[in-house]
Amino acid sequence: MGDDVTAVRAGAALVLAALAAACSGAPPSPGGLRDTLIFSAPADATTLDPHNTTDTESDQVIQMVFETLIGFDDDMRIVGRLAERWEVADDGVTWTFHLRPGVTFHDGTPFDADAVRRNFARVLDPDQRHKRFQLFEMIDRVEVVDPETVRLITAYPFGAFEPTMAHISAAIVSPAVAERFGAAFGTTAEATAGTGPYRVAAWRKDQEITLERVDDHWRGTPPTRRIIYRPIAENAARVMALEAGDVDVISRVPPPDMRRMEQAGHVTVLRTASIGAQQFRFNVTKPPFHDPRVRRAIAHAVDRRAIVDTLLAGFATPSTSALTPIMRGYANLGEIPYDLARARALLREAGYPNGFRTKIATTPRYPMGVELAEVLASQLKQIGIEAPIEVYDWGTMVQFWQGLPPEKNPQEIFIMGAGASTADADWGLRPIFQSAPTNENNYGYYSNAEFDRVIQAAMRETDADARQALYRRAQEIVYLEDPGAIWLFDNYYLVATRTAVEGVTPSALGTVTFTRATVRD
Amino acid sequence: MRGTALARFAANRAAVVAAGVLVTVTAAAVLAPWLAPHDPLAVDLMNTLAPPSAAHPLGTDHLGRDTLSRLLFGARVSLGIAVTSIGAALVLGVGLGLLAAWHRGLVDAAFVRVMDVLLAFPDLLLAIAVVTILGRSQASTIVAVVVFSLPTLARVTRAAALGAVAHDFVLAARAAGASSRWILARHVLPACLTPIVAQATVMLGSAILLASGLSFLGLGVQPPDPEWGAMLSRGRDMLRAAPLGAVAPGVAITIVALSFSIAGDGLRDALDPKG
Repeated sequence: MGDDVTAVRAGAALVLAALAAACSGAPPSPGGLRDTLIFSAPADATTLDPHNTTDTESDQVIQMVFETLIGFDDDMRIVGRLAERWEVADDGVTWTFHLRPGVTFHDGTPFDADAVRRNFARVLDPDQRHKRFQLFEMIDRVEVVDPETVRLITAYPFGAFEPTMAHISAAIVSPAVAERFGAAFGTTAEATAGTGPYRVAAWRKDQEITLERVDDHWRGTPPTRRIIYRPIAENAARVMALEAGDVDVISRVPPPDMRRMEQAGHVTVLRTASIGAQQFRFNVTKPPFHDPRVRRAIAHAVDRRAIVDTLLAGFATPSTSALTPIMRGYANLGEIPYDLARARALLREAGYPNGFRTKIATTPRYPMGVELAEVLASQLKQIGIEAPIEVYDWGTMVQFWQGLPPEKNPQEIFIMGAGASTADADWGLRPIFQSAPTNENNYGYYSNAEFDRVIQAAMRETDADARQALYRRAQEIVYLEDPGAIWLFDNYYLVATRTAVEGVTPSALGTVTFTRATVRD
Repeated sequence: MRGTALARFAANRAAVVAAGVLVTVTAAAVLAPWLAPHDPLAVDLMNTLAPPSAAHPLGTDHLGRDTLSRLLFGARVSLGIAVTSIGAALVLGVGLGLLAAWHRGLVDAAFVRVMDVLLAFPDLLLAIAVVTILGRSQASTIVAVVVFSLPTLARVTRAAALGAVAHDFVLAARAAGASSRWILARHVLPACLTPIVAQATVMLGSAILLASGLSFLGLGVQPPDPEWGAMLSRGRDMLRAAPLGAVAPGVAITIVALSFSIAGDGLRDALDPKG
């Protein structure tokens, strides 16, 4: 596929081929290449069931083991995977996928149209309560045309259908294994089977997941036989493990360490613009945050440049919208200027010339989560807003986000990481800012009638230009006019590797792909 | 008797060093506003994670705040929590222990059971439970440390008081018609002071550890206030980029907790040579 070829990688492949040729027939590490790569992230996968996960560390492994019908390439373009071709009928709701022939799941079950039908029946079965049910609820039915052709019919023309189908949770699992293990699918190595270039060989919870490559995969045989995922929760320990050579690749590197290692040059530092953005949200039901002028004042009181340059060591970019630039539907609305005079004027207009008292809730689960709250508090103080900080562990923080009615939710300003894993405006805006209570992911109870109308119209709009215009309007509302959050910065996805490692590709979605990775001895 | 106790303490070199450390740290905490070179809360984003220099002898943290100033002000918070909570635990614990020893019977049995229940909980778990109920703040940290140290101090008091109430001078006072309160205050309490004082000193160290532990977990003192446990917790992510940010508070916690323990042991040996 086109996504597999870029100049850099072609170069790497040439070197590889040369190395392999030079030392052919020298098992098990031809050409001075190791047969194992060790990757370390902050946490283990929670499950390897793509239909039932919402955390990146699980997706990290899932995207190596499973494949979707269509997927994102390294530049976030949509390309065929298990489907070679696909088209939508004029009605805007009938999508036909022509499947790749000759593919089998890791357990030997053949991949065909019926497997696709059984997969969507599984994720859309409300009784099984899969976490990704909501993502696919627009799918009305799935029809098997012939073993190599499947038709998905949506309940209404859905503008974000392709990115939704490219989402890793649309991965096709082995129906035989899924039916044998039921709810336990994806919880052990034996209970996991997809069609990806690697299969799960072993899984010791919280210690190690071992992936073994699949020979003669339709995408080619990956150069490295084994990929080991070894979680190290402590950031400093993970960085030290890399520098000591105990692991080959690490993710989620603290920015100050990225800068230090980049300057030292003893490891390779990779950054990818991502779907992730960091922000603080407002609980708009708590006065004075019901007044958009107060929220706009706060937006102008934050020096995003200083935060990015210092706290993030330059490894982020100040936000320019409610979405990040690599997402479909993004509109560049510019950085919100750091302007204390304007902030004070807006506060005065809103009736708070001397500021007020609020509080900031944060969690160290987000990179620099506590530090960001401290900076925000110190910057708000400049316009007279006193904001003590409350630090919560992740478990407690999440309880505030479980669809609590506003009067039961004590949070006022709270940290939030955004990242719509379809890389599309619909999933990036609708679940988060469409009016509550129909929407329980709207943790700040944001409500704007025009925004709701625009988002609903955009969702059903399939014309690309009209869709873009609607999403631009939606972003103007929620980013500028009636801000739903203190937008801070767009994250880079930060990965560091030993210099002996090549061909590692961090994706904007916050995962790393190792299908082309090599480790020199 | 007093003179000899002091002499015995002075002969214990480790205890003397520990006491010296504690006096110094206490003085530094009290004098922090004058000693600290900078405002411990002053954020300077242009000067983050700076290495040690003349202006910042221990460097700066991730927000450009002076680590030495935060350490000094952190001593106030950490020692303040420890002294306040152990003080409160002493008042309550000694009172309860004396009453239990004096009344015996049902009161004593109930006292022993309740203290046993409290002691059965792992200390950090108990503290987390208290903070979860009361909300996270400096005040709830103090309550948590009181709940943690109360049973030990109360039991030590009870054990010592049980011995003291059997003495002839207590019987004589009773026979003379003295009130319970007067007897407990004038005769029983002074006879129990040695183990109580020694135990309280040792527990000051445990209190520092527990309060730092809570703050380390994000449950104790909330940012931006400087506290040693919280500084350690935030500094450990920057361990490679700015090691002093985590090492300095870590060393401070260790030294002070250890000093309280050594000084407490020395105190016990000096006051009660038999033990």
